[in-house]
Amino acid sequence: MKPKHIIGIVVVVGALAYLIFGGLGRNLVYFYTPSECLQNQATCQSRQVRLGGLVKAGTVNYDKDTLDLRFVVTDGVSEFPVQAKGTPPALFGENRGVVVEGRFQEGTFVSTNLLVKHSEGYQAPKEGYTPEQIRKLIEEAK
Amino acid sequence: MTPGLLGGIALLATLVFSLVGLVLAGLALWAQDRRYLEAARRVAPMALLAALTSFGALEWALLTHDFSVRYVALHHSVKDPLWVTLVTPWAALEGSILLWGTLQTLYTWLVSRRVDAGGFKSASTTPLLDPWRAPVALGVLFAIQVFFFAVMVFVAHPFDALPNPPADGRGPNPLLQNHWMMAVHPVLMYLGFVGLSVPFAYALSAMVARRFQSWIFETRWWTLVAWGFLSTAIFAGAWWSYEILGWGGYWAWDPVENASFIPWLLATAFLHTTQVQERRGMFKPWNFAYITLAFAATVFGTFLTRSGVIQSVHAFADGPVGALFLVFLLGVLVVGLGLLSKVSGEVRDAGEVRWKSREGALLAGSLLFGTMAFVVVIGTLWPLVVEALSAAKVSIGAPFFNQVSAPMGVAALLLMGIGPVLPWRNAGPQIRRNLLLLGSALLVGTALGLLLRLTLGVSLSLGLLAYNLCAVGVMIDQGVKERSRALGISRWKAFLELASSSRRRFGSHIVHVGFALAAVAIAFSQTYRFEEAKTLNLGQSWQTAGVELRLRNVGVEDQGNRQSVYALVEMRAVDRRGLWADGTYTTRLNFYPQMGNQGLAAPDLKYTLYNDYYLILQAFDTERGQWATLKLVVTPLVLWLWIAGGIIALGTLYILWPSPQPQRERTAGGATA
Repeated sequence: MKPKHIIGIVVVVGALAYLIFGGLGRNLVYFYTPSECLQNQATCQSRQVRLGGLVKAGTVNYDKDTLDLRFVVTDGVSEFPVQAKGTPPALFGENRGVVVEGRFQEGTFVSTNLLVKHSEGYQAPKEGYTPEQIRKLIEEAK
Repeated sequence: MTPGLLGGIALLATLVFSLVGLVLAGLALWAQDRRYLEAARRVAPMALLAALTSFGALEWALLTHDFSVRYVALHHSVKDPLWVTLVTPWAALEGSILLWGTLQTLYTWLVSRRVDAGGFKSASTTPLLDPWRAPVALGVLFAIQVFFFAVMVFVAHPFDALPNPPADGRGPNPLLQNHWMMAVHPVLMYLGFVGLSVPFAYALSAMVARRFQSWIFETRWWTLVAWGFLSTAIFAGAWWSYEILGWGGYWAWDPVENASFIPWLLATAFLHTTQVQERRGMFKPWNFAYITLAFAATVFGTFLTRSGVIQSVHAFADGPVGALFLVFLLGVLVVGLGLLSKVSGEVRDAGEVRWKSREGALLAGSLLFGTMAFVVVIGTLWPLVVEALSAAKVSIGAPFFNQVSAPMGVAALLLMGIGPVLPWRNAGPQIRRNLLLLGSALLVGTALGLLLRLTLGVSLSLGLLAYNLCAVGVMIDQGVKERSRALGISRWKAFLELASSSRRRFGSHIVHVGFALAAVAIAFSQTYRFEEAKTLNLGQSWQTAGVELRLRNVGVEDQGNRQSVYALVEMRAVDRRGLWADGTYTTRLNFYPQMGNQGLAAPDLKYTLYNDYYLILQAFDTERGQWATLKLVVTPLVLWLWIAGGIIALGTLYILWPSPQPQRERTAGGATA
């Protein structure tokens, strides 16, 4: 093999590796519960993440004319205010599991995508649940 | 006799026939005795009949509402319309494996008719499978069959009985009964998946018998059929999701969309390198590797959908079936690649490849498709890798796939134009004029796009379409000129003769143009998509994106198996952006009893050659029907994506269409046409 071929192959493979693994790193979206988000503040507050938890009772506020949806997502220990745009999905409701994707803007999580647990058999957890239990519950919401 | 009993017996019979066929094929290979081979050949139609009986029994159970069969109780309801009942066999796990297995028995039977077991005469001119390779090819296909039917008999039995049958079942997943594509897309996909098993079986037999060349000719038809089904299935699936998923998109890089895309990419790579082996006897190891990976990728796709490893709209329930498919996947890879490594010393290529030649371009193209397949696999599995290594939970979004596939798509489109223009072996200076022509088409097209103030990417897609059209024009022009000069006939006659004699070449031109057109449609629709939502009161109007909408009515209809809430909206264009938008739109939310208060959107959309107007009903006044929340999505040129899909299917069909006379490959002018 001639040196110029080897150089060519190295360049092509290098470019591909950059494209693939660089792209993977930049587009990785981490999933956090509110407590985990507090523990990993650096990542959670600065990039696109998925935040999963329960919709805190009594915090849902939806205006059908402006399509503004506000609520608080909680895991029983920590909580964050969430702001979303658009009609909430049918299964959205108080004490339901929810996953929101977006970024933090001045302390409020601005969601671009809202996912709800897809099951009618869902039951709100009892009092005194642990964040791990919630996490398990939310993982099924994807 | 009940359908459940008949189905169960037929299922077991298929498994037994497949096992017997496998053993006989093994004996034929071991003893080199044609009588075993003849016997194995005769088992294939019996397995087919038994599998068809089993499939028929499932339809029978569904049509007679036999809820003592668990599958029927879980996925069927007496309220289902007839067409939904007929397609319910592939609406859930067990039935879909039955469909897959049944198609496999059909393909095995078709292959068994190609076996030369001595004394067996065929009217066709297609070469027969010789007795050295036939036992392996049949054995592999029977082994695949054994796997599918053993999975059904022992793990996912479609005819499991219910001790206390209910009076009515739940019906299939509402998402699957919302659109007639349910009758088309899955079947096409399975036909494509199963179709790849045939070239795979031929490849293994070629390696075992050490006859490395002829299988390429013999499986040409099979590969193209499988590829055609896969391509059509992917387009059909994209259109289906566009029509009903209610987000106005057609491709989300969902893990299971990826799972259908990976075999397609590898089959495309295989299709292109086989051309070189056919013509020049080169790339033999590549072909063995590509077909093994392509077939393995179909199993990988099934593993992803059936295992619950990855969440997706397509996912069925999780369970032990996934693990079995994983074992099967590893088996396919070990056998295919293991055999290849064993014979790799003997598989020699006849010459050296120069990059500046047809075969160089074909190799580069297939490497590109192979790399893309790798990227999609990595992107799909990366969240699992990260999770295993760091316990963090992550996901990979569409942006990753878009970023990587855009440059690769551009490279593929560039190769697609230049490859067929390059001559075999080595390109001389005579092609400089053609390259100049192609380059200017690319530049002019792109510049035109930029002048129209389109984005660089969209302009580039226009340039690439012009470039590919130019390439096809150059090639046809050259071939026609040579032929008309050589035979002294008119250009027009030469063109017609060429078009009917070099079907493969003309068909591939059509397919290539189809893909260049699809790229334009994708570039436009991804770049210039517009969406906005608003809540309207009855009679209220809303101006946006060049159109004016007015909410006329909100009401509900009882449609038997569902309640359908509709919003009647009038739309008219107010400026040029809203071209052809005028009309009355009825957009719906369907409520199925098994989904409670969760509605399923049935958007109304108007296709035009320019914009698609896509209207979704998101929410409505449940008490008095006084207001509705509507979402409007306006996407340009999406219709051209479906037209491109049609062109690709027609081009494939054009190649496959049987010629009245045997194909003449090297007629005058054919070599450059």
